[in-house]
Amino acid sequence: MTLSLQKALVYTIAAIGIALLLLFWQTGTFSESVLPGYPGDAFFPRLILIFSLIWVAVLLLRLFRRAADTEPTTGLPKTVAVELIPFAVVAGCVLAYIFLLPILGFELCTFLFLFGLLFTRWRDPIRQRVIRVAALSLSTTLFFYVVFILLLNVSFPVRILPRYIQF
Amino acid sequence: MENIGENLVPAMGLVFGSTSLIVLLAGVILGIVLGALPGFGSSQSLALLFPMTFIMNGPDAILFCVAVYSAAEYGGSIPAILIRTPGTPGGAVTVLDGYEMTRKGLASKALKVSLFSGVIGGLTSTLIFIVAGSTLAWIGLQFGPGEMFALGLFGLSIIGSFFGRDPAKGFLATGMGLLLATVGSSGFGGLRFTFDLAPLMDGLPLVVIVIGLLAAPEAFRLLIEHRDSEVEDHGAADVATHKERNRFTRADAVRLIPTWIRNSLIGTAIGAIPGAGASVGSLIAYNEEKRWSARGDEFGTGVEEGVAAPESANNAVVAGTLVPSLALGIPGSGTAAILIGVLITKGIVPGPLLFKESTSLVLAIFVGLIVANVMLLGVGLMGAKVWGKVAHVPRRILGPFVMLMIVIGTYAYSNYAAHVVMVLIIGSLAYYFEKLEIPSVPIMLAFVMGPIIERNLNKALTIHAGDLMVVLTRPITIVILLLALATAWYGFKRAGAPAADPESAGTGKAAEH
Repeated sequence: MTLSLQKALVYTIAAIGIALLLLFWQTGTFSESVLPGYPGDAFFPRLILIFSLIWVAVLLLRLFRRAADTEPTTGLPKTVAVELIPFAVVAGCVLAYIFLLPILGFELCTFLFLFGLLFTRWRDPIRQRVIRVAALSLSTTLFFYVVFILLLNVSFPVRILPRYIQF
Repeated sequence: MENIGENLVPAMGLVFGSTSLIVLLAGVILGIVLGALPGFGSSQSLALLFPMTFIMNGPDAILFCVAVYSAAEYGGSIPAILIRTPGTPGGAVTVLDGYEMTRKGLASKALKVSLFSGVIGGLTSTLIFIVAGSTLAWIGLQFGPGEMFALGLFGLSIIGSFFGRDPAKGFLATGMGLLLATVGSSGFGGLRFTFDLAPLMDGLPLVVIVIGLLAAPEAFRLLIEHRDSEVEDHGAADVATHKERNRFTRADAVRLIPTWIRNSLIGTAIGAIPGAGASVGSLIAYNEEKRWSARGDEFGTGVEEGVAAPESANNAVVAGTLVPSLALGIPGSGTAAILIGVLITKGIVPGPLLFKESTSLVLAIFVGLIVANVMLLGVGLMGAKVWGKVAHVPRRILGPFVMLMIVIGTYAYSNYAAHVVMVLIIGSLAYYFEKLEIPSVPIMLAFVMGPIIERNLNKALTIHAGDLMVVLTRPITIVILLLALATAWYGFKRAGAPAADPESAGTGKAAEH
């Protein structure tokens, strides 16, 4: 998806502004001061929110003024490309990895994650590709198992490798 | 700093302990490897390796980080010299003469010049660091909480003004970072911005912010934008060819001494200015060397001085950056913010008191930097051929490994899947923001500084019975606040001025790292 930079900036800054206003409203629920002199839990966040809202206003004003200007903006690209599908695939892979971790275990999840992502990026003919990507994914899984689980003692849910490799 | 003699022995004990030397060596090797990967600066390298510090004690963790930082700055020059692709923003200027040397069949010599220059830059700035740091800390010790609050605002004014091309976006990013820092407990029993979500009750962990803002966008870029890319073959020469011509002789070293001294001083000074960083340091060093050197006219055609100047400067930046970071708690760069974060997670508070109460730790950092630079020399010389191969790894293959390291590293922090989801959300936003030229480094810097600023503000208000005007109108506070305003004004003026040349235009972007 390709957006005009001007529009993308206006929508993003406006969304940030709305979020900041909602957060300002939320500060009304924070605890009052409990100590003499202490201004309460909401004081510092409100200072930050006011500060940020000022910059939102400055940026929006500038963007609207620029939109009215006939002179083209120099130095900035005119469009922003947002690769939604490749991005969703990557995010989906990460989420699948983390949610399947307790079910399939560290070894299988890591192997599948790497195999899936590397397979689409490898250039060899299909049979060589399968062998090479599988070998690389397997060796990397072993490496991460040794480093994170055996050496650094991180408690990942493991299923297969402890039966074969342990210090 | 008091009692250097008394504290030097415990400091040496910290650095030369069995685990510390292993940690330093690991930091140097990993720093070179990650720095040599195209697109990976010192801050991204540190962000990726941050989870490894969880199992280390405080001194080992900080020694590991400074070793990675120093080594990554050298590592960045390897792809710059061999394949015309700087590994770190600081290595961008090295391309100009480094790659020309490679084209002449002098790749190995260029790598050696870069290595020696980096090590000498690092050693020189470390010696300056100990003097400058203790002086700055002594000044900081004279300040009360009100002045420290103003100093924090001064730091924010630099962060907002000089990271990225547009100060207005920089200040908005700074505000977002400060807000993220307020999530969780207020420190006075209340909760803020948790929305009754359990993962937010303890606030956002620094590891989530660091990995989300620095490493994750790079991983997205590698996976999405470089999924079809190859490393371009620029005809990069094998580093082992032309052995005789590639020898780095004593005469070469003697000729480069003035270059090393000049640019180590420039790098240290630039490093001490928050927001400037290695890219600005190496650019200024290159331009100054071009003016001073007898071979100035030959710059850009593959001369040793053209490699030595930026490389000694960008490694000198490392110790220079540590001066305001450790002495005042103001991180000068994304990398310094991670270093501060590591200290804080280990229960060590950076700032003037650190130099008074933990003198041996500060000295250990100083000695550790020297040892790391000596190790860098050995490892760099021994592994020249291997590092050359690392630089040739295609980016499309790199992406899955980087993303896997991010996921595993984040999960390892406290075995909590929600942290990985947070990294995914923050990383996605940072990736999108970078497309809109909203810089993400100020978000992280402000996140680190936020609690320090709030704590000092609360202390000052409590002392002065809640009267903000009394806090803001103390003489030193007024001077610091005026400096902050002047900095912001200068930032806008600088951003409004047309870039003099393409190189200087690029530094704004480069400074983000």
